[in-house]
Amino acid sequence: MALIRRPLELALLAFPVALLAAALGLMAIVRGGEDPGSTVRIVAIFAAVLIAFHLTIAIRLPQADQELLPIVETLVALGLIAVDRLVPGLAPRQLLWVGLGSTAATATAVGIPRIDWLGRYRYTWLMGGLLLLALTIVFGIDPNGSQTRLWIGANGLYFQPSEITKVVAVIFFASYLADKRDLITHAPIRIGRLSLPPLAYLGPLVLMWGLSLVLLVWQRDLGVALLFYLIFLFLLYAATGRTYVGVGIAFLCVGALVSLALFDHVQLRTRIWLDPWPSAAGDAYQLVQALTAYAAGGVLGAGLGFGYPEYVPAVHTDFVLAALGEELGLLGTIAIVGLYVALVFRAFRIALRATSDFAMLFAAGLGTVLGVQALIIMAGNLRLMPITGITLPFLSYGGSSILANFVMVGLLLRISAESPSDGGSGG
Amino acid sequence: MVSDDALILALRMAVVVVLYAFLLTLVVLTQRELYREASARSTSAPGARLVVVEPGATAQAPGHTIPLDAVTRLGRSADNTIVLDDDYVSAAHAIVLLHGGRWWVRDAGSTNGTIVNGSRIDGETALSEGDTLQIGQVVFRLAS
Repeated sequence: MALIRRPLELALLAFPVALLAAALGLMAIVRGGEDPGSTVRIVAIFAAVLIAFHLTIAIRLPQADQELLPIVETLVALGLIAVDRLVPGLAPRQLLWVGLGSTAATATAVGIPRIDWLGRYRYTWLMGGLLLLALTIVFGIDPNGSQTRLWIGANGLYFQPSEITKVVAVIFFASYLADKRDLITHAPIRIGRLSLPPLAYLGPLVLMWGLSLVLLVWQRDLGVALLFYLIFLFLLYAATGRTYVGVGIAFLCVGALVSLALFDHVQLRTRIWLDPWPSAAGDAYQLVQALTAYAAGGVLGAGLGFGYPEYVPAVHTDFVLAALGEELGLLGTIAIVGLYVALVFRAFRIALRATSDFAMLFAAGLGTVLGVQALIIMAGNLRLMPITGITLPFLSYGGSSILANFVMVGLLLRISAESPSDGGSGG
Repeated sequence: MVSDDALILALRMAVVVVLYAFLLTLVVLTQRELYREASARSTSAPGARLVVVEPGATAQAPGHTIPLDAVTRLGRSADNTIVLDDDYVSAAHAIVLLHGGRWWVRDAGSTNGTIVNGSRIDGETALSEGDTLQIGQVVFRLAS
């Protein structure tokens, strides 16, 4: 059949569907007496969304990477499983966002003229992104009681601008670094044994980056600020081959200490990270419950539907890993980490095959965003570092997060479609 | 009639099996992909040699062919893959690399520039068979 131009992707997409069907079926049985129709409906709609996505790409971008989407959809399936387990009524809404995200992804992948076109309007995009961030200063609301006003929206439909700003920041950094690459690589400022990036040439870049950080810190969205910082460092390395590790870490420590001094919620989170036990019933309750959940899960897990994730506050947004950790055990958690590794790996493969500097840096940047974000959140959930307020890509419940992450996937698919493939399947 | 408990156990195992089967499939696919690229690179990479057209002030002989590695550095300094002892060649002048099945040349920040088919390149350019590459006063042609 001429329509099976991407057989590998089609075959691999069977995994997320099978996963969703098995897990939701399991939970339906465990819950007992529940309307099986809703389970079947969710799986059917999910499969339909996947097939629609696959067909659109098969028709319009057949040379794109074939392993990326299945990895993403497996994570999405896990996210749906988690939501259905934790807050059953929200599953259709998560699915809605998945559908919207898939539409946005295909629209992005197919709709933009060329990847390099995005780079040309980098200031426009970034200004738009920063404006959105600034809007939260004026119009921001706090629907979750997190004491940070990071959302815009009303009537139950909320939207977090920093998710979009993430993407446009990567466009900006990648495009700027691609243009100025040679200048920056060959002119570091040396102070003794430390290398500093040549700030004169990096002027506009540092300015834009500084502006984003100021806005984020002003809004106390420190998790995303950390993300921006690390992405910047990484893209600098990808573009120039110089790590600026010494300086990078030094500034990070300075920033961390400053935010520690300035913000009481940072002090709180650091305190419960370092020693949660004294305040286990109070401030550190969420973290301690999460740790207990992992312990309860053990290696094999308590089984879907058999755990007690309701004891972890805000579990469907902030601590999804704890819920899945309890019910799927260490095996499940390792599999999740493995999926994120696969995702980042795929993104970097796409980056390495890109034909223009911008496309390469852009793909690498997108992969870094997804990977570092997942890393920061999982580390926070596991008490390897203080909790931050960012979401686990595709797994956490959250519309703007899913939407933005899907757009990134669409962009990655587009980049891979524009690169020469080596004549193999899967790219 | 299968008991609920047996079904639950079966589905629990199914969930783990599906997850790990997927990851394993990805690993196998990646292995194959990398192996395929490695062998493609070592056998039929197009344009795998530089032919000296014009030796400039170096000791290269015209017509001499130099095989290309995946990354080949050209310049005056002794740590380059191809050392070109010509006054108009910088210490680190250019890099020829194989990437995504094609050959590319990148100027490494040379003083006099790297010239492909008569035009000075800016950054990185693809090289095709038959293209001429000029480093200082030395001219090469890409051949397979």
